[in-house]
Amino acid sequence: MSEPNTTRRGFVQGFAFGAIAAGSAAQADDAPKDAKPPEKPQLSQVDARMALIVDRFGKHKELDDKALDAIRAEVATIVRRGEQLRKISLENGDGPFPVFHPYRSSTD
Amino acid sequence: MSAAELAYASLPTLGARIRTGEVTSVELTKFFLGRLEQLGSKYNCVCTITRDLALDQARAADADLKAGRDRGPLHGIPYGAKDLLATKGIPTSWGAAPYKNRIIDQDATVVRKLREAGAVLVGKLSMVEIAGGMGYHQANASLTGPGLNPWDNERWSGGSSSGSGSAVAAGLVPFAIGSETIGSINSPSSQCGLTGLRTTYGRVSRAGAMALSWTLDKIGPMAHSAHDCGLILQAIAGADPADPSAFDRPFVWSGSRLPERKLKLAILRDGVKDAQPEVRDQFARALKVFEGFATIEETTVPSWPSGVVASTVLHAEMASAFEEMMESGAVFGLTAPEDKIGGFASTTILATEYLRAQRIRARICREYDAWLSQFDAVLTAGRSGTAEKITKGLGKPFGSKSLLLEGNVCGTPAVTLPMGFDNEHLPTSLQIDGRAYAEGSLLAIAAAYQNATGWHLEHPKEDKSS
Repeated sequence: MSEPNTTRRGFVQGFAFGAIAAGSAAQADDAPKDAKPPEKPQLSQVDARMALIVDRFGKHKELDDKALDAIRAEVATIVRRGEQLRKISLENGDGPFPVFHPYRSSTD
Repeated sequence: MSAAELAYASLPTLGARIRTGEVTSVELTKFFLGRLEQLGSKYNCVCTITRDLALDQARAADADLKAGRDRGPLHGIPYGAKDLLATKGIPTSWGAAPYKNRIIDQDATVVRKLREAGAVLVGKLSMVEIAGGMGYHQANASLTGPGLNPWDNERWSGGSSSGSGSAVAAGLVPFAIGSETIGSINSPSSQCGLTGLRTTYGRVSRAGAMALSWTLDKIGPMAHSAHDCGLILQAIAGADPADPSAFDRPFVWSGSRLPERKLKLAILRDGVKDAQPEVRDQFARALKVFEGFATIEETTVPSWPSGVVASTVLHAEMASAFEEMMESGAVFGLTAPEDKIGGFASTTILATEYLRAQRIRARICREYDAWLSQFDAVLTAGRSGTAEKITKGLGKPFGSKSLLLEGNVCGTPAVTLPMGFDNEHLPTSLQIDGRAYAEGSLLAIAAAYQNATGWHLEHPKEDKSS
Protein backbone atom coordinates (compact mmCIF):
# COMPACT_ATOMS: atom_id res chain seq x y z
CA MET A 1 0.00 0.00 0.00
CA SER A 2 1.44 3.28 -1.01
CA GLU A 3 1.63 6.17 1.35
CA PRO A 4 -0.90 8.95 0.98
CA ASN A 5 0.21 11.85 -1.17
CA THR A 6 0.74 14.21 1.70
CA THR A 7 4.13 15.59 0.76
CA ARG A 8 4.45 18.73 -1.33
CA ARG A 9 6.34 16.72 -3.93
CA GLY A 10 3.47 14.24 -4.12
CA PHE A 11 0.89 17.00 -4.29
CA VAL A 12 2.65 18.70 -7.19
CA GLN A 13 3.02 15.40 -9.04
CA GLY A 14 -0.60 14.54 -8.44
CA PHE A 15 -1.76 17.95 -9.55
CA ALA A 16 0.18 17.75 -12.79
CA PHE A 17 -0.97 14.25 -13.64
CA GLY A 18 -4.51 15.14 -12.62
CA ALA A 19 -4.47 18.04 -15.04
CA ILE A 20 -3.43 15.78 -17.87
CA ALA A 21 -6.11 13.24 -16.94
CA ALA A 22 -8.82 15.92 -16.85
CA GLY A 23 -7.81 17.02 -20.35
CA SER A 24 -8.06 13.45 -21.62
CA ALA A 25 -11.49 12.94 -20.09
CA ALA A 26 -12.82 16.01 -21.84
CA GLN A 27 -11.88 14.50 -25.18
CA ALA A 28 -13.45 11.09 -24.52
CA ASP A 29 -15.93 9.95 -27.21
CA ASP A 30 -18.54 8.75 -24.75
CA ALA A 31 -18.98 12.11 -23.03
CA PRO A 32 -22.61 13.34 -23.28
CA LYS A 33 -22.95 15.85 -26.14
CA ASP A 34 -24.97 18.34 -24.13
CA ALA A 35 -22.83 18.12 -21.05
CA LYS A 36 -21.22 21.33 -19.83
CA PRO A 37 -17.57 21.41 -20.73
CA PRO A 38 -15.54 20.53 -17.68
CA GLU A 39 -13.98 23.44 -15.88
CA LYS A 40 -10.40 23.99 -16.86
CA PRO A 41 -8.13 22.93 -14.07
CA GLN A 42 -6.74 25.91 -12.27
CA LEU A 43 -3.10 25.04 -12.79
CA SER A 44 -1.09 28.14 -12.12
CA GLN A 45 2.16 28.82 -13.95
CA VAL A 46 4.00 28.26 -10.69
CA ASP A 47 2.33 24.87 -10.16
CA ALA A 48 3.02 23.84 -13.74
CA ARG A 49 6.68 24.78 -13.54
CA MET A 50 7.03 23.09 -10.16
CA ALA A 51 5.61 19.94 -11.70
CA LEU A 52 8.34 20.07 -14.34
CA ILE A 53 10.99 20.39 -11.66
CA VAL A 54 9.63 17.50 -9.63
CA ASP A 55 9.26 15.38 -12.75
CA ARG A 56 12.86 15.98 -13.81
CA PHE A 57 14.69 16.31 -10.55
CA GLY A 58 12.40 14.72 -7.98
CA LYS A 59 14.68 11.68 -7.99
CA HIS A 60 17.07 13.61 -5.74
CA LYS A 61 16.22 12.96 -2.10
CA GLU A 62 17.74 16.33 -1.22
CA LEU A 63 14.74 18.02 -2.81
CA ASP A 64 12.58 17.59 0.27
CA ASP A 65 9.58 19.71 1.21
CA LYS A 66 11.71 22.50 2.62
CA ALA A 67 13.84 22.64 -0.52
CA LEU A 68 10.77 22.58 -2.76
CA ASP A 69 9.26 25.46 -0.80
CA ALA A 70 12.39 27.52 -1.43
CA ILE A 71 12.43 26.55 -5.12
CA ARG A 72 8.74 27.40 -5.41
CA ALA A 73 9.46 30.93 -4.17
CA GLU A 74 12.11 31.29 -6.87
CA VAL A 75 9.78 29.92 -9.51
CA ALA A 76 7.21 32.51 -8.47
CA THR A 77 9.85 35.20 -9.01
CA ILE A 78 10.64 33.79 -12.46
CA VAL A 79 6.95 33.83 -13.38
CA ARG A 80 6.70 37.46 -12.24
CA ARG A 81 9.77 38.32 -14.32
CA GLY A 82 8.18 36.69 -17.35
CA GLU A 83 5.08 38.82 -16.84
CA GLN A 84 7.22 41.94 -16.56
CA LEU A 85 9.02 41.07 -19.79
CA ARG A 86 5.77 40.49 -21.65
CA LYS A 87 4.49 43.92 -20.59
CA ILE A 88 7.27 45.55 -22.60
CA SER A 89 6.02 45.96 -26.13
CA LEU A 90 8.26 44.83 -28.95
CA GLU A 91 7.99 45.05 -32.71
CA ASN A 92 8.53 42.05 -34.95
CA GLY A 93 11.79 43.60 -36.08
CA ASP A 94 13.14 43.86 -32.52
CA GLY A 95 15.52 40.94 -32.72
CA PRO A 96 18.18 39.84 -30.29
CA PHE A 97 21.78 40.55 -31.21
CA PRO A 98 22.85 37.55 -33.25
CA VAL A 99 24.95 35.06 -31.36
CA PHE A 100 25.18 32.31 -33.94
CA HIS A 101 27.99 32.19 -36.48
CA PRO A 102 28.24 29.58 -39.21
CA TYR A 103 31.36 27.56 -38.57
CA ARG A 104 33.89 26.12 -40.94
CA SER A 105 37.16 24.73 -39.73
CA SER A 106 40.16 26.54 -41.13
CA THR A 107 41.91 23.22 -41.70
CA ASP A 108 39.90 22.17 -44.78
CA MET B 1 63.75 47.48 -1.83
CA SER B 2 62.08 46.06 1.29
CA ALA B 3 59.91 42.95 1.17
CA ALA B 4 56.81 45.10 1.70
CA GLU B 5 57.80 47.40 -1.15
CA LEU B 6 58.46 44.44 -3.41
CA ALA B 7 55.10 42.87 -2.52
CA TYR B 8 53.22 45.97 -3.69
CA ALA B 9 55.51 47.24 -6.44
CA SER B 10 53.95 48.29 -9.72
CA LEU B 11 54.41 46.14 -12.80
CA PRO B 12 56.79 48.64 -14.47
CA THR B 13 58.89 48.72 -11.28
CA LEU B 14 59.09 44.93 -11.12
CA GLY B 15 59.84 44.74 -14.84
CA ALA B 16 62.61 47.32 -14.56
CA ARG B 17 64.23 45.43 -11.67
CA ILE B 18 64.18 42.20 -13.64
CA ARG B 19 65.71 43.89 -16.68
CA THR B 20 68.48 45.59 -14.73
CA GLY B 21 69.29 42.28 -13.06
CA GLU B 22 68.53 43.54 -9.54
CA VAL B 23 66.22 40.59 -9.17
CA THR B 24 65.65 37.57 -11.39
CA SER B 25 62.25 36.23 -12.29
CA VAL B 26 63.10 33.08 -10.31
CA GLU B 27 63.86 35.16 -7.20
CA LEU B 28 60.71 37.20 -7.63
CA THR B 29 58.66 34.06 -8.20
CA LYS B 30 60.08 32.41 -5.08
CA PHE B 31 59.26 35.56 -3.13
CA PHE B 32 55.60 35.52 -4.18
CA LEU B 33 55.31 31.73 -3.84
CA GLY B 34 56.56 32.14 -0.28
CA ARG B 35 53.94 34.78 0.43
CA LEU B 36 51.17 32.64 -1.06
CA GLU B 37 52.29 29.66 1.00
CA GLN B 38 52.63 31.68 4.18
CA LEU B 39 49.57 33.93 3.94
CA GLY B 40 47.21 32.39 1.39
CA SER B 41 45.29 30.32 3.93
CA LYS B 42 44.90 33.34 6.21
CA TYR B 43 42.64 34.89 3.56
CA ASN B 44 41.21 31.63 2.13
CA CYS B 45 42.38 32.96 -1.20
CA VAL B 46 44.29 30.08 -2.78
CA CYS B 47 43.03 26.92 -4.43
CA THR B 48 46.32 25.63 -5.84
CA ILE B 49 49.86 26.94 -5.64
CA THR B 50 51.58 26.14 -8.92
CA ARG B 51 55.17 26.03 -7.58
CA ASP B 52 56.73 23.69 -10.15
CA LEU B 53 55.10 25.31 -13.14
CA ALA B 54 55.94 28.78 -11.82
CA LEU B 55 59.60 28.02 -11.33
CA ASP B 56 59.81 26.46 -14.81
CA GLN B 57 58.20 29.56 -16.32
CA ALA B 58 60.43 31.88 -14.29
CA ARG B 59 63.57 30.05 -15.37
CA ALA B 60 62.40 30.31 -18.99
CA ALA B 61 61.75 34.04 -18.50
CA ASP B 62 65.24 34.58 -17.13
CA ALA B 63 66.79 32.54 -19.94
CA ASP B 64 64.83 34.52 -22.53
CA LEU B 65 66.08 37.82 -21.18
CA LYS B 66 69.64 36.56 -21.13
CA ALA B 67 69.22 35.59 -24.77
CA GLY B 68 67.86 39.03 -25.60
CA ARG B 69 64.23 37.94 -25.95
CA ASP B 70 62.05 40.43 -24.08
CA ARG B 71 58.37 39.52 -24.15
CA GLY B 72 57.16 42.89 -22.91
CA PRO B 73 55.94 44.56 -19.72
CA LEU B 74 54.81 41.34 -17.99
CA HIS B 75 58.02 39.43 -18.69
CA GLY B 76 59.04 37.42 -15.63
CA ILE B 77 56.28 38.82 -13.40
CA PRO B 78 54.20 36.41 -11.27
CA TYR B 79 50.41 36.46 -11.28
CA GLY B 80 47.40 34.50 -10.03
CA ALA B 81 44.38 33.27 -12.01
CA LYS B 82 40.83 32.90 -10.77
CA ASP B 83 40.20 29.17 -10.52
CA LEU B 84 37.66 29.19 -13.32
CA LEU B 85 40.42 29.44 -15.91
CA ALA B 86 41.55 26.06 -17.18
CA THR B 87 45.22 25.18 -16.72
CA LYS B 88 46.81 22.12 -18.29
CA GLY B 89 47.83 19.55 -15.69
CA ILE B 90 46.62 21.63 -12.73
CA PRO B 91 43.23 21.30 -11.01
CA THR B 92 40.52 23.79 -11.96
CA SER B 93 37.76 23.71 -9.36
CA TRP B 94 35.44 26.59 -10.27
CA GLY B 95 35.43 27.14 -6.50
CA ALA B 96 33.14 24.14 -6.17
CA ALA B 97 33.73 21.09 -4.00
CA PRO B 98 32.38 18.63 -6.61
CA TYR B 99 35.21 19.71 -8.95
CA LYS B 100 37.94 20.00 -6.35
CA ASN B 101 40.46 17.73 -8.06
CA ARG B 102 39.20 17.98 -11.61
CA ILE B 103 41.82 18.65 -14.27
CA ILE B 104 40.81 20.25 -17.54
CA ASP B 105 43.71 19.33 -19.75
CA GLN B 106 44.10 22.58 -21.63
CA ASP B 107 45.12 26.13 -20.93
CA ALA B 108 42.51 28.86 -21.17
CA THR B 109 43.41 31.33 -23.90
CA VAL B 110 44.06 34.07 -21.33
CA VAL B 111 46.49 31.77 -19.48
CA ARG B 112 48.25 30.96 -22.75
CA LYS B 113 48.47 34.63 -23.71
CA LEU B 114 49.97 35.53 -20.36
CA ARG B 115 52.50 32.73 -20.70
CA GLU B 116 53.44 34.03 -24.14
CA ALA B 117 53.81 37.50 -22.62
CA GLY B 118 56.34 36.02 -20.19
CA ALA B 119 54.13 36.19 -17.07
CA VAL B 120 54.53 33.48 -14.44
CA LEU B 121 51.51 31.65 -13.03
CA VAL B 122 52.07 31.16 -9.30
CA GLY B 123 48.59 30.17 -8.16
CA LYS B 124 44.99 29.40 -8.92
CA LEU B 125 42.93 31.71 -6.77
CA SER B 126 39.74 31.05 -4.83
CA MET B 127 36.33 32.12 -5.98
CA VAL B 128 32.71 31.86 -4.99
CA GLU B 129 31.49 28.46 -6.17
CA ILE B 130 30.26 28.48 -9.77
CA ALA B 131 31.04 32.21 -9.81
CA GLY B 132 27.95 32.82 -7.71
CA GLY B 133 25.62 31.52 -10.40
CA MET B 134 23.54 29.48 -7.99
CA GLY B 135 22.47 32.59 -6.09
CA TYR B 136 24.63 32.53 -2.94
CA HIS B 137 23.80 35.02 -0.22
CA GLN B 138 26.59 34.49 2.28
CA ALA B 139 30.36 34.78 2.25
CA ASN B 140 30.84 31.08 3.00
CA ALA B 141 30.02 29.84 -0.49
CA SER B 142 33.27 28.34 -1.71
CA LEU B 143 35.19 25.12 -1.25
CA THR B 144 38.00 27.20 0.27
CA GLY B 145 35.76 28.98 2.79
CA PRO B 146 34.73 32.62 2.85
CA GLY B 147 37.09 35.02 1.10
CA LEU B 148 38.68 37.11 3.84
CA ASN B 149 39.66 40.72 3.40
CA PRO B 150 43.29 41.78 4.02
CA TRP B 151 42.06 45.14 5.32
CA ASP B 152 40.13 43.38 8.10
CA ASN B 153 40.26 39.63 8.32
CA GLU B 154 36.75 39.45 9.75
CA ARG B 155 35.27 40.98 6.65
CA TRP B 156 34.43 39.57 3.25
CA SER B 157 36.72 40.13 0.29
CA GLY B 158 33.80 40.39 -2.13
CA GLY B 159 32.90 37.99 -4.90
CA SER B 160 32.91 36.11 -6.99
CA SER B 161 36.61 36.83 -7.76
CA SER B 162 37.29 36.69 -4.00
CA GLY B 163 40.76 35.13 -4.09
CA SER B 164 41.92 37.47 -6.84
CA GLY B 165 40.85 40.40 -4.65
CA SER B 166 42.47 39.16 -1.43
CA ALA B 167 45.66 37.91 -3.04
CA VAL B 168 46.44 41.16 -4.84
CA ALA B 169 45.41 43.33 -1.88
CA ALA B 170 47.61 41.30 0.49
CA GLY B 171 50.58 41.54 -1.87
CA LEU B 172 50.62 37.78 -2.51
CA VAL B 173 50.65 38.31 -6.28
CA PRO B 174 51.40 41.49 -8.25
CA PHE B 175 48.22 41.06 -10.28
CA ALA B 176 45.41 38.60 -10.90
CA ILE B 177 42.86 37.72 -13.50
CA GLY B 178 39.22 37.83 -12.47
CA SER B 179 35.94 37.50 -14.27
CA GLU B 180 32.63 39.31 -14.12
CA THR B 181 29.16 38.23 -15.13
CA ILE B 182 27.43 40.85 -13.00
CA GLY B 183 29.71 42.52 -10.47
CA SER B 184 32.38 39.87 -9.83
CA ILE B 185 35.35 42.12 -10.62
CA ASN B 186 33.69 45.25 -9.25
CA SER B 187 32.81 43.76 -5.85
CA PRO B 188 36.21 42.36 -4.75
CA SER B 189 38.08 45.29 -6.30
CA SER B 190 35.88 47.67 -4.31
CA GLN B 191 36.10 45.79 -1.05
CA CYS B 192 39.83 45.08 -1.25
CA GLY B 193 40.91 48.55 -2.46
CA LEU B 194 42.12 47.43 -5.88
CA THR B 195 41.87 48.67 -9.41
CA GLY B 196 39.78 46.25 -11.43
CA LEU B 197 38.79 46.43 -15.06
CA ARG B 198 35.57 44.96 -16.36
CA THR B 199 36.38 44.66 -20.03
CA THR B 200 34.06 45.14 -22.97
CA TYR B 201 32.27 41.86 -23.70
CA GLY B 202 34.48 39.95 -26.13
CA ARG B 203 37.61 42.03 -25.51
CA VAL B 204 39.26 39.03 -23.84
CA SER B 205 38.71 35.47 -25.04
CA ARG B 206 36.76 33.25 -22.65
CA ALA B 207 37.94 30.00 -24.21
CA GLY B 208 38.85 27.68 -21.36
CA ALA B 209 37.01 29.78 -18.79
CA MET B 210 34.01 28.33 -16.93
CA ALA B 211 30.86 29.48 -18.68
CA LEU B 212 28.26 30.87 -16.32
CA SER B 213 26.50 33.00 -18.91
CA TRP B 214 27.74 32.95 -22.50
CA THR B 215 26.43 36.41 -23.27
CA LEU B 216 27.36 38.12 -19.99
CA ASP B 217 30.75 36.68 -18.90
CA LYS B 218 33.82 38.90 -19.20
CA ILE B 219 37.43 38.41 -18.12
CA GLY B 220 39.58 41.22 -16.80
CA PRO B 221 42.59 42.23 -14.73
CA MET B 222 42.70 43.12 -11.03
CA ALA B 223 45.80 45.00 -9.97
CA HIS B 224 47.19 47.89 -7.94
CA SER B 225 46.66 50.64 -10.52
CA ALA B 226 44.95 51.62 -13.74
CA HIS B 227 48.34 51.70 -15.43
CA ASP B 228 49.00 48.08 -14.44
CA CYS B 229 45.53 47.09 -15.71
CA GLY B 230 46.32 48.70 -19.06
CA LEU B 231 49.52 46.70 -19.39
CA ILE B 232 47.76 43.45 -18.53
CA LEU B 233 44.85 44.08 -20.88
CA GLN B 234 47.29 44.76 -23.69
CA ALA B 235 48.65 41.23 -23.22
CA ILE B 236 45.34 39.38 -22.98
CA ALA B 237 43.04 41.23 -25.42
CA GLY B 238 42.26 40.06 -28.90
CA ALA B 239 40.42 37.71 -31.20
CA ASP B 240 40.51 33.97 -30.68
CA PRO B 241 39.21 31.28 -33.02
CA ALA B 242 38.23 29.27 -29.94
CA ASP B 243 35.84 32.01 -28.77
CA PRO B 244 33.66 33.49 -31.52
CA SER B 245 32.65 36.37 -29.24
CA ALA B 246 36.26 37.57 -28.93
CA PHE B 247 36.77 40.44 -31.35
CA ASP B 248 39.76 41.72 -33.22
CA ARG B 249 39.96 45.33 -32.16
CA PRO B 250 43.44 46.36 -31.16
CA PHE B 251 44.09 47.60 -27.65
CA VAL B 252 47.36 49.40 -27.09
CA TRP B 253 47.87 50.93 -23.67
CA SER B 254 49.50 54.27 -24.23
CA GLY B 255 49.59 55.36 -20.60
CA SER B 256 47.59 57.98 -18.81
CA ARG B 257 47.39 60.49 -21.65
CA LEU B 258 44.16 62.43 -21.53
CA PRO B 259 42.82 64.40 -24.49
CA GLU B 260 43.84 68.09 -24.77
CA ARG B 261 40.25 69.25 -24.33
CA LYS B 262 38.49 69.25 -20.98
CA LEU B 263 36.70 65.97 -20.40
CA LYS B 264 32.96 65.81 -19.94
CA LEU B 265 32.04 63.52 -17.07
CA ALA B 266 28.63 62.72 -15.65
CA ILE B 267 27.40 61.82 -12.19
CA LEU B 268 23.97 60.45 -11.35
CA ARG B 269 21.47 62.69 -9.58
CA ASP B 270 21.15 61.60 -5.94
CA GLY B 271 23.57 58.81 -6.83
CA VAL B 272 25.16 58.56 -3.37
CA LYS B 273 22.32 60.03 -1.31
CA ASP B 274 21.67 56.73 0.48
CA ALA B 275 25.26 55.51 0.54
CA GLN B 276 27.37 54.96 3.65
CA PRO B 277 28.21 58.48 4.89
CA GLU B 278 31.96 58.04 4.34
CA VAL B 279 31.34 56.82 0.79
CA ARG B 280 29.29 59.97 0.20
CA ASP B 281 32.07 62.16 1.61
CA GLN B 282 34.84 60.44 -0.32
CA PHE B 283 32.80 60.66 -3.52
CA ALA B 284 32.41 64.43 -3.02
CA ARG B 285 36.19 64.71 -2.51
CA ALA B 286 36.83 62.64 -5.62
CA LEU B 287 34.70 65.00 -7.69
CA LYS B 288 36.91 67.91 -6.60
CA VAL B 289 39.87 66.04 -8.08
CA PHE B 290 38.06 65.38 -11.36
CA GLU B 291 37.08 69.03 -11.59
CA GLY B 292 40.78 69.69 -12.17
CA PHE B 293 40.56 68.21 -15.66
CA ALA B 294 36.87 67.76 -16.44
CA THR B 295 33.48 69.35 -16.34
CA ILE B 296 30.99 67.35 -14.33
CA GLU B 297 27.34 67.24 -15.26
CA GLU B 298 24.66 65.83 -13.01
CA THR B 299 22.27 63.63 -14.93
CA THR B 300 19.51 61.08 -14.55
CA VAL B 301 19.73 57.54 -15.85
CA PRO B 302 16.78 56.66 -18.06
CA SER B 303 14.73 53.85 -16.63
CA TRP B 304 15.57 50.66 -18.48
CA PRO B 305 14.32 47.21 -17.45
CA SER B 306 17.92 46.11 -16.98
CA GLY B 307 17.28 44.12 -13.80
CA VAL B 308 14.65 41.81 -15.21
CA VAL B 309 16.62 41.36 -18.44
CA ALA B 310 19.86 40.60 -16.59
CA SER B 311 18.16 38.12 -14.27
CA THR B 312 16.36 36.28 -17.04
CA VAL B 313 19.40 36.02 -19.31
CA LEU B 314 21.78 35.05 -16.51
CA HIS B 315 19.50 32.43 -14.98
CA ALA B 316 18.45 30.86 -18.27
CA GLU B 317 22.05 30.55 -19.47
CA MET B 318 23.22 29.31 -16.06
CA ALA B 319 20.50 26.67 -15.99
CA SER B 320 21.63 25.41 -19.36
CA ALA B 321 25.35 25.57 -18.53
CA PHE B 322 24.83 23.58 -15.32
CA GLU B 323 21.95 21.33 -16.35
CA GLU B 324 24.11 18.21 -16.05
CA MET B 325 25.28 19.25 -12.59
CA MET B 326 21.66 19.44 -11.43
CA GLU B 327 20.64 16.30 -13.30
CA SER B 328 23.42 14.24 -11.76
CA GLY B 329 22.96 15.66 -8.28
CA ALA B 330 26.56 16.92 -8.15
CA VAL B 331 25.07 20.30 -7.28
CA PHE B 332 24.28 18.99 -3.78
CA GLY B 333 28.00 18.87 -3.11
CA LEU B 334 28.24 22.67 -3.19
CA THR B 335 29.04 24.49 0.04
CA ALA B 336 26.30 27.07 0.63
CA PRO B 337 22.89 25.49 1.34
CA GLU B 338 21.18 27.98 -0.98
CA ASP B 339 23.52 27.06 -3.84
CA LYS B 340 22.56 23.40 -3.64
CA ILE B 341 19.00 24.23 -4.70
CA GLY B 342 19.43 27.66 -6.30
CA GLY B 343 19.55 26.49 -9.92
CA PHE B 344 16.48 24.30 -10.23
CA ALA B 345 13.88 27.04 -10.60
CA SER B 346 15.80 28.51 -13.54
CA THR B 347 15.35 25.31 -15.56
CA THR B 348 11.74 26.41 -16.06
CA ILE B 349 12.46 29.71 -17.79
CA LEU B 350 10.67 29.52 -21.11
CA ALA B 351 12.54 29.90 -24.38
CA THR B 352 10.22 32.76 -25.28
CA GLU B 353 11.04 34.51 -22.00
CA TYR B 354 14.76 34.17 -22.61
CA LEU B 355 14.47 35.44 -26.17
CA ARG B 356 12.21 38.28 -25.16
CA ALA B 357 14.81 39.33 -22.60
CA GLN B 358 17.48 39.21 -25.30
CA ARG B 359 15.33 41.27 -27.68
CA ILE B 360 14.71 43.90 -25.00
CA ARG B 361 18.43 43.78 -24.20
CA ALA B 362 19.30 44.74 -27.79
CA ARG B 363 17.06 47.77 -27.49
CA ILE B 364 18.60 48.74 -24.12
CA CYS B 365 22.08 48.45 -25.64
CA ARG B 366 21.24 50.95 -28.37
CA GLU B 367 19.60 53.40 -26.00
CA TYR B 368 22.32 53.03 -23.36
CA ASP B 369 25.02 53.74 -25.92
CA ALA B 370 23.18 56.83 -27.14
CA TRP B 371 22.89 58.02 -23.53
CA LEU B 372 26.55 57.28 -22.73
CA SER B 373 27.73 58.99 -25.91
CA GLN B 374 26.94 62.39 -24.35
CA PHE B 375 29.84 61.95 -21.93
CA ASP B 376 33.42 60.78 -21.85
CA ALA B 377 32.57 58.68 -18.80
CA VAL B 378 30.14 58.37 -15.91
CA LEU B 379 31.33 58.43 -12.30
CA THR B 380 29.53 56.52 -9.56
CA ALA B 381 30.45 55.05 -6.20
CA GLY B 382 31.90 51.61 -6.85
CA ARG B 383 29.81 50.31 -4.00
CA SER B 384 27.39 51.91 -1.58
CA GLY B 385 29.30 50.71 1.49
CA THR B 386 32.53 49.08 2.56
CA ALA B 387 33.18 45.38 3.19
CA GLU B 388 30.66 43.47 5.32
CA LYS B 389 31.50 41.29 8.31
CA ILE B 390 31.55 37.68 7.19
CA THR B 391 29.19 36.78 10.00
CA LYS B 392 26.47 38.88 8.39
CA GLY B 393 24.47 38.06 5.30
CA LEU B 394 25.29 39.89 2.11
CA GLY B 395 22.29 42.21 2.13
CA LYS B 396 23.12 45.83 1.48
CA PRO B 397 22.58 48.19 4.42
CA PHE B 398 23.16 51.16 2.11
CA GLY B 399 22.12 52.08 -1.39
CA SER B 400 23.59 53.97 -4.28
CA LYS B 401 22.80 54.43 -7.93
CA SER B 402 25.15 52.64 -10.26
CA LEU B 403 25.41 51.42 -13.83
CA LEU B 404 26.27 47.89 -12.76
CA LEU B 405 23.25 46.31 -14.42
CA GLU B 406 23.25 48.45 -17.54
CA GLY B 407 27.00 48.01 -17.99
CA ASN B 408 26.82 44.25 -17.70
CA VAL B 409 23.66 43.85 -19.76
CA CYS B 410 25.24 45.97 -22.50
CA GLY B 411 28.75 44.52 -22.19
CA THR B 412 30.40 47.90 -21.68
CA PRO B 413 33.62 48.43 -19.74
CA ALA B 414 34.14 49.97 -16.31
CA VAL B 415 37.08 50.61 -14.02
CA THR B 416 36.70 50.22 -10.26
CA LEU B 417 39.35 51.97 -8.18
CA PRO B 418 40.06 52.96 -4.60
CA MET B 419 38.68 56.30 -3.39
CA GLY B 420 39.90 56.62 0.20
CA PHE B 421 38.75 55.01 3.42
CA ASP B 422 35.84 54.88 5.82
CA ASN B 423 36.15 55.51 9.56
CA GLU B 424 37.36 51.94 10.12
CA HIS B 425 40.05 52.30 7.46
CA LEU B 426 38.24 50.08 4.97
CA PRO B 427 38.50 51.01 1.29
CA THR B 428 35.73 52.91 -0.46
CA SER B 429 35.62 52.83 -4.23
CA LEU B 430 34.81 54.75 -7.33
CA GLN B 431 33.57 53.39 -10.64
CA ILE B 432 34.16 54.87 -14.08
CA ASP B 433 31.81 53.56 -16.79
CA GLY B 434 32.00 54.22 -20.50
CA ARG B 435 30.97 53.10 -23.95
CA ALA B 436 31.92 49.79 -25.51
CA TYR B 437 35.63 49.55 -26.41
CA ALA B 438 36.49 52.59 -24.26
CA GLU B 439 38.87 50.76 -21.91
CA GLY B 440 41.79 52.96 -22.97
CA SER B 441 40.11 56.26 -22.14
CA LEU B 442 38.52 54.92 -18.92
CA LEU B 443 41.89 53.67 -17.71
CA ALA B 444 43.49 57.01 -18.63
CA ILE B 445 40.86 58.86 -16.58
CA ALA B 446 41.42 56.44 -13.69
CA ALA B 447 45.19 56.88 -13.96
CA ALA B 448 44.84 60.67 -13.89
CA TYR B 449 42.80 60.38 -10.69
CA GLN B 450 45.33 57.98 -9.18
CA ASN B 451 48.24 60.28 -10.08
CA ALA B 452 46.43 63.07 -8.26
CA THR B 453 45.39 61.14 -5.15
CA GLY B 454 47.64 58.17 -4.47
CA TRP B 455 44.87 56.12 -2.84
CA HIS B 456 46.00 53.12 -4.87
CA LEU B 457 49.36 53.25 -3.09
CA GLU B 458 47.77 52.49 0.31
CA HIS B 459 47.97 48.85 1.34
CA PRO B 460 46.78 46.79 4.30
CA LYS B 461 49.12 46.53 7.25
CA GLU B 462 50.60 43.07 7.44
CA ASP B 463 50.00 41.12 10.63
CA LYS B 464 53.54 40.11 11.61
CA SER B 465 52.24 37.37 13.88
CA SER B 466 50.98 35.25 11.03
